Amino acid sequence: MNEQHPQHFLGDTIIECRNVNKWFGEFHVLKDINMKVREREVVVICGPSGSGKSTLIRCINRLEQHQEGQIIVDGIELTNDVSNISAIRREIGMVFQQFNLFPHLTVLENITLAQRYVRQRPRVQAEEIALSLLERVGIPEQARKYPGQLSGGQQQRVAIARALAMNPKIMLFDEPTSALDPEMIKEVLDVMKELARSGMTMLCVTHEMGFAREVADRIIFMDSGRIVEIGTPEHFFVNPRHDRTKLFLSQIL
Amino acid sequence: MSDILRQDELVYVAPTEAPPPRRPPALMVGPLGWLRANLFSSRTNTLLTIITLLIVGWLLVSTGLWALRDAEWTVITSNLRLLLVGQYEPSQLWRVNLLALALLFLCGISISLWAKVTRAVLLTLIVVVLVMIVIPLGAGQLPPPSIRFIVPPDSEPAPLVFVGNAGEPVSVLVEPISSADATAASPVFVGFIENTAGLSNSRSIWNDVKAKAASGALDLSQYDLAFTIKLVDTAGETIASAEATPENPRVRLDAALPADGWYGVIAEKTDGSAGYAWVRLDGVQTFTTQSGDEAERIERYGLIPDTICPVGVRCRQVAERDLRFEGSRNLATYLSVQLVPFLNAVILPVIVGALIALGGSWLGYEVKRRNSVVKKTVSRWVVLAWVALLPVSWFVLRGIEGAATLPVVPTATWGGLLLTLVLTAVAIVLSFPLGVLLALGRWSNLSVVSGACTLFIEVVRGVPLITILFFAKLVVPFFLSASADVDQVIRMMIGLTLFTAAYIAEIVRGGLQIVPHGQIEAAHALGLNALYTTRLIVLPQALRAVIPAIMSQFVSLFKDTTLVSVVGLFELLGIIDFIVNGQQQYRGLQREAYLFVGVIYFVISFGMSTVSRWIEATGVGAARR
Repeated sequence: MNEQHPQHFLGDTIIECRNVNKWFGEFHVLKDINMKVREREVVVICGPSGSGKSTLIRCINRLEQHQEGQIIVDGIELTNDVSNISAIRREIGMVFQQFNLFPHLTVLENITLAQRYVRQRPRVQAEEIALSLLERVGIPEQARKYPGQLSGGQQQRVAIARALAMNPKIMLFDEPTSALDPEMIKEVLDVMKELARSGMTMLCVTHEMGFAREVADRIIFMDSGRIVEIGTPEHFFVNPRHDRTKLFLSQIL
Repeated sequence: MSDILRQDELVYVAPTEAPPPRRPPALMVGPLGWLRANLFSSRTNTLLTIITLLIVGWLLVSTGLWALRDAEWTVITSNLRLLLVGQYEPSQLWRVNLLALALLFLCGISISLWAKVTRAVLLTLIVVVLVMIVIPLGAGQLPPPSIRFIVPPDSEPAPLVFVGNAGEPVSVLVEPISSADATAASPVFVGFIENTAGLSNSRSIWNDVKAKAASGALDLSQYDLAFTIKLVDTAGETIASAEATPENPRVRLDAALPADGWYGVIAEKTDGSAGYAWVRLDGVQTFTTQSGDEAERIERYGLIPDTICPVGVRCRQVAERDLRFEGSRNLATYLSVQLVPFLNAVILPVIVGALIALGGSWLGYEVKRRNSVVKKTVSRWVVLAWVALLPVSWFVLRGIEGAATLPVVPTATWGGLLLTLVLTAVAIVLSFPLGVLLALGRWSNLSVVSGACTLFIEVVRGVPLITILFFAKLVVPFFLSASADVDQVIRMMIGLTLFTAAYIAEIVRGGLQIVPHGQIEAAHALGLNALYTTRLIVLPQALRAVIPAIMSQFVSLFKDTTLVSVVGLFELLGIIDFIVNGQQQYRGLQREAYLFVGVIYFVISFGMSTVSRWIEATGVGAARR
């Protein structure tokens, strides 16, 4: 049990990677990845660019396909089976670096679209959920606007609300603050912290070490497609063991 | 010069209060500023502005002068029906009218439901209709131009018939044609000359006389014609008559018409072997042979009585069809001769159409003011009506086999604007979904589907449209052998649809390529399947981006329909050949016909691009980045 975060108790394993390997053409991008994430756990993945961290979390909801090994999410193994993939995607929400909001739909429609077509919720119910989520991320007044009319931070918060509207068990964050102006990073991180405190299972690729130190249960450090070191924040920041990790930390802190 | 920065250079702190914004200098804003910035910004620009204005002005003035002075617009007025519907069965024209009105009504209601009828549009419409009403009223006060026919030495001309009302003064004047007249360089009279098709008409005699007199083959000083000139009424009774003799050739009849009805001018030949005489008729209004006008005339005056025009004699009528204007005109004459008959022919349809369209938009406006439920219901019905319009139109226009009220009108008889619009509408409606499907097929990961779509698109784009139309004409019957002979119009629709679909597919593919991959990933991450992702996320963005290109393809298609004339269909452009070369009295009037048709093409194409710009700027088309 993690002394730093006594507010939530971790559950069973919900994501498991066993000897996952992936190539882009000839390039070996993920090498023998083994890791587990437990329910309600917040895991931050960090590492230099090109280390494969984004690819790893994109494999978990099958935006990328791994070629060897097993990925098991919520007891379902990811295979080419389309029904497996859609079952898993329904359990996983994802937030992208570039937000990827749908520019032709209003904020409200962005959040209700998948609810209506995937979860089959009636429009009124979907809109209620959407509005309460906008309240939660702090921008209820923006519901009728189009994404292009919002600031980057607001757009990313809409993207979080859109993912949450599907009631996912797991949230994946792929560098959610990297495309934001410094003044807007905080508002997104605040939402993420609130989400972490509420007990969401979260897997975040991020360079925000402050966030990692404050919120993460564990930190995974990757380099050149392999996991170099896994540890709690105290272990990672205070007492890293691997030379590559020490080098990385010496450069960013 | 010092090497180090002074203290006041090193540090600057702005005052707490920002200064208030100021207006830009007067010469940079307003119309004057615009002129300076856009037309006279530099010496080169000034020069180019002046040269361009001169060229454009010269073109406009010379075209305008031709159109107002020399052009013979009666060819349009007399052939309006051919230009609009071709040889569509005249007794069934109510179907076309009905559909046109339905279309106008739908346009009206749609515009006020989804856009707004701006005050400018409304004002323009009202002004145009008022001008169309006022010009004929004003020009009706002008004395009608004189009408002439020639009495030749070797035959007796057929009677010239006209309609007149009680009390109208009419005068008939006979005068020999002098050699000075025949050899004059410029026209010697201003007015109509009789030009009936199928007879040895006065205009061809006049041209012949001029040619012979110029070459010296004809001596006009030998004049020995003697004939009786008579003005007769409906019953054939002579109202006035006079003898024109070689000694006293210049005779004049003056009469006030006794009643409403038909009248005739008859030159009864008594003697003579040389010389030509004019018979000039003044104070008579010409009429048109447009079907509506003709029906009205028959109702009011009856048919041409055989007392004036015995059975078996092809009479000359003072109809636009049988007359040709000669000589230069001032504006007043131009208006009464060229514009008024045209306006008279179109004013009723224009007024009815405008009222229906305005009625539709008023209804839309009223609906919009009600609650949103009413608006939603009505909108749904209007959309449904648009969807149903095309198939319904097809059955209404073509008719249904064996139906008494809707007998089949063979598509081979369709022509003019009707055919052009039907071909365009069908090809637009069918090629758009087909093009989108082809684009999605080419875009898809399924290699066979993608390959097949690519092959189709590239083959069609690599072949001239005319080849595809010939292909459609010759090959389609093999594929659709069940319905033994597929009519030409359907074959052309298929050809145009396939051709346009290939181009639409390429345009849409361009649109698909600009949708960022992140959009698809985001949709997948939300659990949307491939179909929903395409329909809800990819296509709306892709299509929105290519609206201008698609609309310009449709404008292109509209103009490409002219090519169906290669298989013998007379669409709007092709029918000119039929009008001008197929009817003797309109020989040589191509310029007028082509200009008129060109204007129609331009107005419709311009309308389409306006709609395109409107879709881009508002509603479903607006970009929201």
